[in-house]
Amino acid sequence: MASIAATEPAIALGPRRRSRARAFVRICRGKPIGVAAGAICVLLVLIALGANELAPHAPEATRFPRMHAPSRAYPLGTDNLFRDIYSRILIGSRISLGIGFGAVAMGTCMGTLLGLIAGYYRGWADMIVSRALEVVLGFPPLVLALFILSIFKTDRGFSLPSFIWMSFAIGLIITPTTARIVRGSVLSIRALQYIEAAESMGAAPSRIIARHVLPNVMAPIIVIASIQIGNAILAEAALSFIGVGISDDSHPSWGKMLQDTRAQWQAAWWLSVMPGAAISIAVLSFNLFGDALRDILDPRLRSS
Amino acid sequence: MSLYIARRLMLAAGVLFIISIAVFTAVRLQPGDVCKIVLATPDADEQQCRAIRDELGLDEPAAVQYVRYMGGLFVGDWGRGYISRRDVRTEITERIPLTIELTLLSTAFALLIAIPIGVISAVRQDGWLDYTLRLLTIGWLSIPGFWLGTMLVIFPAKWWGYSPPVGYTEFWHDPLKNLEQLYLPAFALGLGLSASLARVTRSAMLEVLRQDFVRTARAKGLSERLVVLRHGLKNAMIPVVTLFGLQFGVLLGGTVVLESIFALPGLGTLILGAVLSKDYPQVQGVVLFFAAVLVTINLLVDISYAWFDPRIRYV
Amino acid sequence: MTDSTNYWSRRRLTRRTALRGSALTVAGASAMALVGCGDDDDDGGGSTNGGGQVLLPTAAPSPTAAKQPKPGGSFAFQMPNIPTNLDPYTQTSFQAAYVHGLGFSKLYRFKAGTPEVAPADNTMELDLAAAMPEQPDQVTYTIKLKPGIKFHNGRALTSEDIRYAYDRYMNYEKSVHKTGLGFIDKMETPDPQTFKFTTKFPYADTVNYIGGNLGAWISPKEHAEGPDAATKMVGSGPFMLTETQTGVSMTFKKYADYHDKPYPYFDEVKAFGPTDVAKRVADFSAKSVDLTWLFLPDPRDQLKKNRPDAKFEETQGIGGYIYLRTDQPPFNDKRVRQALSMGINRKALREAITKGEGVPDQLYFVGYPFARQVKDLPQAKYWDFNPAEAKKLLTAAIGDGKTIDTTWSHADVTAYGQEYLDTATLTQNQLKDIGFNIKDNPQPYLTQYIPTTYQGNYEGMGHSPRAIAYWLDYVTERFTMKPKRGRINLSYVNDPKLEALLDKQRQQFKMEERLQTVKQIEELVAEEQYEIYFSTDTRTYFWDSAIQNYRPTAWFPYTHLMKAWRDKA
Repeated sequence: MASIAATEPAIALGPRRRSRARAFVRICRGKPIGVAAGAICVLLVLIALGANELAPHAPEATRFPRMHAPSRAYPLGTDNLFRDIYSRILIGSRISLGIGFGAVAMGTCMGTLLGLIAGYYRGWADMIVSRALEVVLGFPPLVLALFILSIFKTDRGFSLPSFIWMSFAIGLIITPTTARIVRGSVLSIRALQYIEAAESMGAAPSRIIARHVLPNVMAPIIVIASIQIGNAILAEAALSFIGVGISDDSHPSWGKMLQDTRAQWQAAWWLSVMPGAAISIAVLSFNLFGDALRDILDPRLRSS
Repeated sequence: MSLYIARRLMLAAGVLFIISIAVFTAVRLQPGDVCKIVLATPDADEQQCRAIRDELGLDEPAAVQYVRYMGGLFVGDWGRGYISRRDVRTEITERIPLTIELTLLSTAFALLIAIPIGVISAVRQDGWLDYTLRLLTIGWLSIPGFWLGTMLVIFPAKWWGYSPPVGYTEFWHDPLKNLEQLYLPAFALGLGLSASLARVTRSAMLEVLRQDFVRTARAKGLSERLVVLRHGLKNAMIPVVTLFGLQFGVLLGGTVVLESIFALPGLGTLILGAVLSKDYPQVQGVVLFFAAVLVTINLLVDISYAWFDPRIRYV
Repeated sequence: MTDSTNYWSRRRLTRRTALRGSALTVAGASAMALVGCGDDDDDGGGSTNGGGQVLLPTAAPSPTAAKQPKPGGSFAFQMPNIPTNLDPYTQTSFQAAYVHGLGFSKLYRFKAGTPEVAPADNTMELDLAAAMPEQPDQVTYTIKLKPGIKFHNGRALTSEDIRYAYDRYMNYEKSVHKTGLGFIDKMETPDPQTFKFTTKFPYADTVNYIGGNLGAWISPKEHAEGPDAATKMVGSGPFMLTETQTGVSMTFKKYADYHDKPYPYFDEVKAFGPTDVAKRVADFSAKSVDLTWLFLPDPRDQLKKNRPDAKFEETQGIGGYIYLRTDQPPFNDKRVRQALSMGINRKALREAITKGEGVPDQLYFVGYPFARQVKDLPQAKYWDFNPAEAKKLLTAAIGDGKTIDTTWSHADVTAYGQEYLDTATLTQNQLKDIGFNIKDNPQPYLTQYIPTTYQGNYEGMGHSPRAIAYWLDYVTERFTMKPKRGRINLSYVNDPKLEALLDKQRQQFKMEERLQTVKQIEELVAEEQYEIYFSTDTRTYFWDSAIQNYRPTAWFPYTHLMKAWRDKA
């Protein structure tokens, strides 16, 4: 039903409010896992936003015992440099989720724009966009990100330009998927009669896209974006792990935490398990949430 | 069909051309004086710098440099690393077998894991087995390959004193040793892919099993196993192949991480080392090579897809 | 330093003293290799018998000496990195020098490397030379070569090859060892077996330099000037390089015509170079390699648990130091430098990085038999962790309540390993408390750190592993501003008093006299804190118990692999 709401976005909300509440209950019953995952996602975002307040210690604080196993005082243990892993994982969520969202935002914007252009104008525009996407798809994703970062990310450690370049590098990887899906949806919408009607009434293409096309492709965009977040988090972790990340001592990231302590994994299991679990939980939640969202918002994307 | 192939070939060549220009330009956009990078000293005198710039042809117009570089690619001169001073082509060709083998092996792992799971999941749709398997696959989709890979280095050694033989032995020298060196990284690399393949296999199977010819086959009294395997699986393979084509790049990129964890001399460690030391002729060479491989794979997938399903050609 | 053997035979002390003693032996370059360090200065700490008696049972020569060596077989070892450029004339990388020992020869070589010699004993033995130099006076050296020496390419080695090599080290435009042989005045080759040279002044370290690892390998003209100088090794060493897999492995075959019979014993030597400690631990645990090295206490303990059967030797490792712009504010003020040193909690660093082990306080002359302990110095207090005093000094220097904003440049993780970065991270943290706001500036090793920071192009402060060389005069390279003398004066020291002392000690052939000068240098550097020293860690080598006649050395273990053999029984 949500997709119906999406196709008629301008209808007044008043009488629908109750039915929405009912729909929510229905979704909770039908998709308990998806809803739980969604809740965890929301929780993770809240944690990332409030990390500075939630973390009991500064991530770079070193006044704790060395490699202390998880205990009441140090819920996730401490690392080889006397730092509190719990605090570092909380603060680390800022980079991991920040890049996750930043990259997906960039990739979705670029992909949507390209998809709209290709799908709406077709012909030459479609041709050019398709080639551009093929160029991006011609690189192995991780290699593309590595290549871009090696050339353009000049700062080491955490900085705004680094953050933006990192988001861009990962965002570029996910652009083609988004663009292709948007293009497909736009093509099918464009064939509908009311677009033709709007065109024949002389409406400007930008207006038609904004008023009629975009609202109707929002559902697949939201779905694909939510599914991509998990991938973006994984990509950031992998890039941090191989040493081209953006974290530093006071801005830890989960992937970097794993890399830094590798020599001690055998001696202290929590050094590998805790940041690894943080990554897996985040990725899993966003994947499950994205799946559920897809089933609800856009059953057509669901291949089964 | 041949017209379609010719057209696709042209397009692929065009894409490669654009990629080569993009890579070439990007490399030249990077800040810093190449001369200083090569000589590794800041007070290199002007004369030394000029010699190096001459050798690398850096003072010519970019277009001339590009044409020369591309010309070189075709006659086998891929340049030399700034830092390593090694011939880029030799370096790449020496390392191709390992990386290709690693990707193929991880593909094999992915398929071996994914197809049985996908098929069972589809046949037992919405049963507890289906749910368990689906949850399992989505679970391991969230395990970072580098984490799993590192665990596979550390813990077998700790618990059983086991780690694969060091280095890399070519397959035709000693197949068993070769496979032993590669199966752990291949597994870590393939597991992520297997999760998405299993999901596609499941949904493709469901789709196929619902179709008329399957019903007919069942009606003919063929055993369920035969129906599923002969008629179902075969027809469900098209989307699986497509997804595989799309995911091949992910595998190829994943080799960067896993080769470095397992210290394997493949293209992944080559490009990582080159990127970290900013050895751009090598970076450029490997990136272009990867792109060529991937564009070729995409081309093959497109063509085979068209071959499987003639309707594609006319779209 | 010549009496280091006696020094060692003298010492059978408690573990604690032995540990301290490790600081006193001649220091070596080996340790650096372990971290994959790669450049000229960073040869790192000496490898000495830090564990004292602990390793004697495993490394003791007695049971093995009686056995008959068994030639043949293959030997596999790990090093932190496979060097990318093998040209001894243009490389100062210790990574390269390690493998140079397999493929090239020198006039002399370190004696260390077999069980009866202490790892950091820098006594020289004969390599290409048939005898120690004849010295009619203090500036003339005549060296006879052994007869019948051939390069791997079959050509006979003559004194002209020595002259060519030394000339190339001194004069080739891309040579990075120009200053090293700068003491040589004239070279002559009276006949193919005789090499004669004079020095510009009486120089006390001649043999140690030409038998050392930098700027002394003899690579023949046809190879050095050929296209493969960077990728191959055509020398006269015990092993021939047959295959390189970049970044991963090098394969060497026995050189059948090697001049020093009956060596080498092994038919094949393979070097593997994963950079990563976790992988090295795994591979040795699984017996995939015969020798592996440079483990800090954490991975060492893992390995001891995983391989209780293996032999191991703990050696003094690497000590880092901070260099700073003493020519500019704020570090031109001695008080600021002293405060910096007193703001570092070295004990906490040791606990974090080396489980509290290692040599706590280090002076410039660490590793030498004569070196004093910090506590015996009048300036000992500058090594104490004393934030209150540090703040007082800072206040006096820059005013009350002010802080210092500065930058800390260092190489990234690929060069020296995680522990080097961890040290930087923790120290910056500590210094924050006394009023230093430090911007961390990790740089890619080859493309930024070496070409800029390491050449002195940096602001504020920098951080590098510790350089302790096998020739005592190495110090002059650090602290002199004289052109063509020093190669690296990273702290911009310009101190005529120090300069005069440095000039004096290098010409003193009598050790006791030289030591008096050295003591003065030590105290001067301690007072001025031109460089701020960290503690020195411990590094452990592990090797398979079937390998005989091997012992780690501070002086490049690999030449001596030719003397090792595998006991198959």
